[in-house]
Amino acid sequence: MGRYILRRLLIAIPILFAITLIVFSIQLLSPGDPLNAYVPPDFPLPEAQREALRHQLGLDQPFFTRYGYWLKETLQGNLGTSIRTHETVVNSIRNRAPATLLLMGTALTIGTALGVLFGVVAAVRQYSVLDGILTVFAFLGISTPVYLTGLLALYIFALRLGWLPAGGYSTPGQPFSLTDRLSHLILPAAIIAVNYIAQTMRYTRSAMLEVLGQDYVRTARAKGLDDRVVIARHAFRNALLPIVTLIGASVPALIGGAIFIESIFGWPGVGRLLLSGVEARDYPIIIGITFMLAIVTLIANLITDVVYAFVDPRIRLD
Amino acid sequence: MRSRLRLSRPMQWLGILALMAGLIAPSVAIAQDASPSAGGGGVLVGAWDVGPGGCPECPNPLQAGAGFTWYEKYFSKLMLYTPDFSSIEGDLAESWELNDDATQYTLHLRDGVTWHDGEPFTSADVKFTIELAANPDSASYIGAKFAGVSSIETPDDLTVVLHLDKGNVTLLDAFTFLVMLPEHALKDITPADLTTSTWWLDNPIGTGPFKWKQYEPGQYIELEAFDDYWRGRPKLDGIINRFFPEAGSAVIALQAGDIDFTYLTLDEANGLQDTEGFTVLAGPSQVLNYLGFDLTDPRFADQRVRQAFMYAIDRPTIIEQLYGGQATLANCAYILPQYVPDGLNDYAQDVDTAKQLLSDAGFDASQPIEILTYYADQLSSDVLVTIQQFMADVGVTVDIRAVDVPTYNQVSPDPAQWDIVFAGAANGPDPDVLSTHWESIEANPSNLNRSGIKDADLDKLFAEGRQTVDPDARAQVYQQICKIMNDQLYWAPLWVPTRFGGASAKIENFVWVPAPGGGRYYDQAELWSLAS
Repeated sequence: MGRYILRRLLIAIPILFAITLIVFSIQLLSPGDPLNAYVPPDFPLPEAQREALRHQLGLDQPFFTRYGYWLKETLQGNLGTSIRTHETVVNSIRNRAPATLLLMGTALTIGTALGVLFGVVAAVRQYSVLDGILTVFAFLGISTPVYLTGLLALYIFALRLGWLPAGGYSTPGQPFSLTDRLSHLILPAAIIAVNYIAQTMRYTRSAMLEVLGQDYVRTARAKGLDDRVVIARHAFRNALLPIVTLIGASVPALIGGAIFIESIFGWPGVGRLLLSGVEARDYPIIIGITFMLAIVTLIANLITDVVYAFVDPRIRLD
Repeated sequence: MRSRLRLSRPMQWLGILALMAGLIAPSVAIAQDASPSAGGGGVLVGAWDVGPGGCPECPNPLQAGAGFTWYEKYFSKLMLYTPDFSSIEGDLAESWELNDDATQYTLHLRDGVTWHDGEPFTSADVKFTIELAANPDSASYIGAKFAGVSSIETPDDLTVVLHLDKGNVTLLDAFTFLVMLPEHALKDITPADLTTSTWWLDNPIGTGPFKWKQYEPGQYIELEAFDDYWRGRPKLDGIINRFFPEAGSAVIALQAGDIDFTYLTLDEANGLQDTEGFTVLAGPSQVLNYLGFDLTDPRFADQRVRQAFMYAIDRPTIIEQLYGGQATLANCAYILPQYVPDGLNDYAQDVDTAKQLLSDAGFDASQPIEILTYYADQLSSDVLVTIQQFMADVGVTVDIRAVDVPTYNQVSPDPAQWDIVFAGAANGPDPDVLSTHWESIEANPSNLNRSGIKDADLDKLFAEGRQTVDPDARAQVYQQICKIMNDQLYWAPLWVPTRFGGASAKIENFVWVPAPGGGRYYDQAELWSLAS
């Protein structure tokens, strides 16, 4: 096991290196550079000012010089400075991470717990009315775009009913209070959770159905074991593998946030930072966040693979 | 029982994640939000940077093209327009004189103005700010307007004398852009470093009615009343600028009572018009929508082709049907009566004339024409589709290419990449604002004359306009420019749309009008208050 992890970590180094090169090259492919984003279309920035700015931003340097500089600084933990707000990229992400962790942590926890529960129930009662209702719900959850649900939820719960604030992270100018934070959290977290419930439910249901048809489940039932024990111990445990994969794949979102929901609800998270970075062609921010997500994804994949071995004794890592 | 325990292992894993998230987030949040706001005058929350007049989380006003409504809450300018934009009045400058050919400005500053940190505001600050902004290292196009200033004298604390290379009356307009900055706080930072300094978001010092309180990244900026504001302490205790990455959410927040002001689109304004408890504020955007031709393209170098576009497009119908009447027809770039001469061609729709002009010009209709735009809103898409239809009626195929602003800014300097642009350009408050688009010296690629207009008469008239001090004589100059543009149609002028703001009826003495880039007029923010 230890050797396996070490080997995986060593393989990760060239992968990360390749990722940095790809991520850094994105700016060559997308139309418009930070200067283009920075100047409104009907405002004149004279040539002298433009040159000064280009020089300050290092845009007058050749690509590989910039890449080398960036790589050197990144190895020292410096991801650069945002072109738009002048804040360091590390600080920008650090400032936004708590909001994203809170939102995505809540949503993913609820989403996974309820999704797994509903999935098991739907599989055990296949083709029942309950299964039908849950399946319809899952399809709605998966296929409704979150920006639509987001605006609709704001309209209903903030405007029509007035139960919850219309977006934001806290009431501006008010001291922090837990109820205030929670009242802001409920809507965006619920919408993301519904999406995850739907996804997780579909995966769990099909994984369970596959396992429930296996010989060893029939054997367990034939032994006269209680149905709940068969489902929980024999079937569910073996159905966990795809579920673990799904959870593992969601971990980067825990850090990366939800771009649309964070934008609609004005939630100051990493997803929104990335979106405003893209709008402003703020490459240090875009590259910094993408790079961080790449690392998190690599680690999450590793952990997922290790967890496989725990969940399913048939899998050996060495 | 045993099976239940086993079940819980993956759940434990989830639990740890949730716990992590739950523990980290609130503890950080507590550290950030420890500022109870005082009662009394109340705190006004607005989405001040939503819409085209805003620049959310743009920290540096020297580099901003918009967002002045908000900057003016904590910074001040030497001069401001009146809210109807008919004239310029003093703000930090009490009065000023220009010599006859506008090569020398003498500014008399207001006495008793202090910075938020208690230091007095003096002529040294004015000199410092102008020199800082004009330094190319500041990368400020507002500062570039002061490039013609050859020397600045400060004979005493309250007098500033500017000497210009060439006469230029538009410096007064430039002063309504330029926020005054404190020399004592910034003199040790080089102009280049200042562009990336965190000073702008940490604790900027201004002379405005409100002073900096706190900045919550991604959420809002909060200001509090400045007790020593020279016009008197504001009635409000504070003012907050909340950020809305999705403009549609801001309208919901306004209607839900979470905020008191936001910019509105035409649809949103119509929706809010008759809602009790809200006021819809409207005014001309001072932004001309136009079709800008690539004059280096032989097809559009022919005046008859440009005229054909004007005759083909039924502009009054678009204004009536799509804008619901909320736009003003423009037959040249200007719509203010003093700049519009009598006898302009109104180019009423005439399909036959349009077809005739195209055939006279030998226009090759087999090639489609691409209209490039950075407008992504629904109304603009509807307008472009309608224009597409009108052009189809005269046999011209039009493709529409909508891109985002950075892409537009990259593509538009290279005429080889586009045929026509559908864009907006400020046409006021000062009529000279269009010189950057129309003078031959501003031609592509580095400057804003994207159409490549080279007209010696226009060049001469714009230069004359900048050097004419008498307002009536000056207006005559822009009438001539208007006449040339109406005749030559280097741009096909379309209309000037109306823009809207929505305010809660609780705000008293509120003044807000649309403006290109927002603000730049005296909005008496110190008198705003909230009815309980």
